[in-house]
Amino acid sequence: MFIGKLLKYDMKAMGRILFPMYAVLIVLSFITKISLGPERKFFSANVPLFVLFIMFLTAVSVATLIIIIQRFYKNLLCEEGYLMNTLPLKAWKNIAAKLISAFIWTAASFVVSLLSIFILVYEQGMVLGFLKLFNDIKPDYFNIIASSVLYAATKILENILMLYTSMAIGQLANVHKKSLSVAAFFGIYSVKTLTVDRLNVIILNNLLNGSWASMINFYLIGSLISIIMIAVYFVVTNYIIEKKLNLE
Amino acid sequence: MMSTEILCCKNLTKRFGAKTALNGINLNIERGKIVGLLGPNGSGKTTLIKLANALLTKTDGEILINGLAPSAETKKIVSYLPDKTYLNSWMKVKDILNFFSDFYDDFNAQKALDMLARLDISPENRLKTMSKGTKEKVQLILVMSREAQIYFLDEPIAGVDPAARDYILNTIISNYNENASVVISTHLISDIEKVLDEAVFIQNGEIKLHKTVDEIRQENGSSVDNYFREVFKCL
Amino acid sequence: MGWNFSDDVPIYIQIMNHIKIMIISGIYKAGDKLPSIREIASDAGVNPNTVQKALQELERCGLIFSQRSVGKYITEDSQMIKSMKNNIAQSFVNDFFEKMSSIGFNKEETFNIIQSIIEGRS
Repeated sequence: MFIGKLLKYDMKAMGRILFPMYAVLIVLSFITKISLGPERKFFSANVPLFVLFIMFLTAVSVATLIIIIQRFYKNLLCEEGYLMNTLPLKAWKNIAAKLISAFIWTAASFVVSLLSIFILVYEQGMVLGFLKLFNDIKPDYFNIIASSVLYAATKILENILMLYTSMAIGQLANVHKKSLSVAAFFGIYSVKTLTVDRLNVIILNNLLNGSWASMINFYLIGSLISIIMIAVYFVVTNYIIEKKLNLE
Repeated sequence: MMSTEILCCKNLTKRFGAKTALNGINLNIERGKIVGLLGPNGSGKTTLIKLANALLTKTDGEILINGLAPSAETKKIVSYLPDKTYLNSWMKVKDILNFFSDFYDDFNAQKALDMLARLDISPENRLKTMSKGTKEKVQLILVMSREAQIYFLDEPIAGVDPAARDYILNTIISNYNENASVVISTHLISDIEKVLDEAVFIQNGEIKLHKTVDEIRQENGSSVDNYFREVFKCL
Repeated sequence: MGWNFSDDVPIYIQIMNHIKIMIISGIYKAGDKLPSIREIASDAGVNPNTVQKALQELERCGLIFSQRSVGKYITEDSQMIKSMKNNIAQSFVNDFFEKMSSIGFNKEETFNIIQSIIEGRS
């Protein structure tokens, strides 16, 4: 019931920084495009502007990551935690709202980044060309595109939650909370690489024999494993925040 | 509304590793009382309040708010003022009022606006622009504008000037209602003594005394503050 | 009148005394309506329960009466007020004589001092 309201505030808080950055990125892509002139001379005249564009493109991605981390840490585990964790709702709703807003802004950053590149490389007739391409391949490759999108989505959720779990573990300490969070992150990452990722590779080797069908299976099974990881991270994070909160 | 006791602790214990913060606390607080939780720093006052707010989980014993263990359900009827700035500084006052209205059914936004207006605080002001004392008053107003059944105020008057202190105590008095209780945790006893019904002395995680202020004055011929100093001098 | 509280006496008793003084000095007249408990508590900076206790005691000894859902009123018995005024005046004077005697003045010396002060004032 409260998730929608929590989401409203999370979206606003993160958007305060990201939205202006998106605007700047789009403007920058237009400016850079114009500077290339009618012959679209990449790697020619305006290298600084081009470099600036690439840098800002990276900055948007980096900022998104930082803001996701910061919003969770600052709002739930620092002084604002006194407000958020005494709201009349269960802890999982706080986590879910953060997760959903983090996902939305990740997707938004991705879309805006693509859009800015699209603007940069745009030529007359490009859109029509793409649309025609999509229409042609759609029936054959719909499944693989859909399953790869699912895989990407679950992977994003999984990684966000991995960050959350690390921070939740980190706050268990009384001192050096941030250091412990970083250590926890690398700890989880290592364990994950040695177990879950190995599993993914084994599946990939066994399934992939060059056909698209096995690619779809890879994405589907990968999504399933991801969903299991999401559940594990969520349960751990929820347990820590509900029972082992260590504010101050 | 169920129990006559809004807060009930039975043998409540909280340990942090080797350290025992609360050691078998027994405490009952009735509705309609303003109670002082009095003790030196580190005596367990904040631990007790955090347990009541489900910010910590007990190690042993029991703590009940209106007969229920601390949970999302009890948070609906508990209003808590921590001794920190827990609000986001870039938010405007009106945003914060909307926030409280969004999550608390018992939040009286009009009452808050009236109290803020009397302090010349506009809904458009951002917390960032306010002095420490003003921020504290805003947080107090928000907490007292909830029609809760129990209020926990953790050191509400520490580090504020005398005029602000009077304002805060006056807000607590005028907000009084006989179905709700207020627990004020502080080490500054002489300032709040006149506002209290009962005094609870706590030290080293144990309750040393729980009496009405009248009893203490009558039995000892001195203020609660003086009596407190005596009691704790010998411990 | 400003509220001045001392440390050693229960607050409700001090509130009772304060209200009594306000009655005998005419600030509250016979039959006047008292402010609400909340107003008194806010004005005095004390707990409303304490004010209620004080008023209950005053009601018990007949200085105050309540009219249901309207409020509390000072008694209209001006005899009672007058005799309370006298009692309080007497206790002030007795206190004064005790203090004077404790610093070594007898009754005659005390009277002389009173007289010279009165002459000095007029």
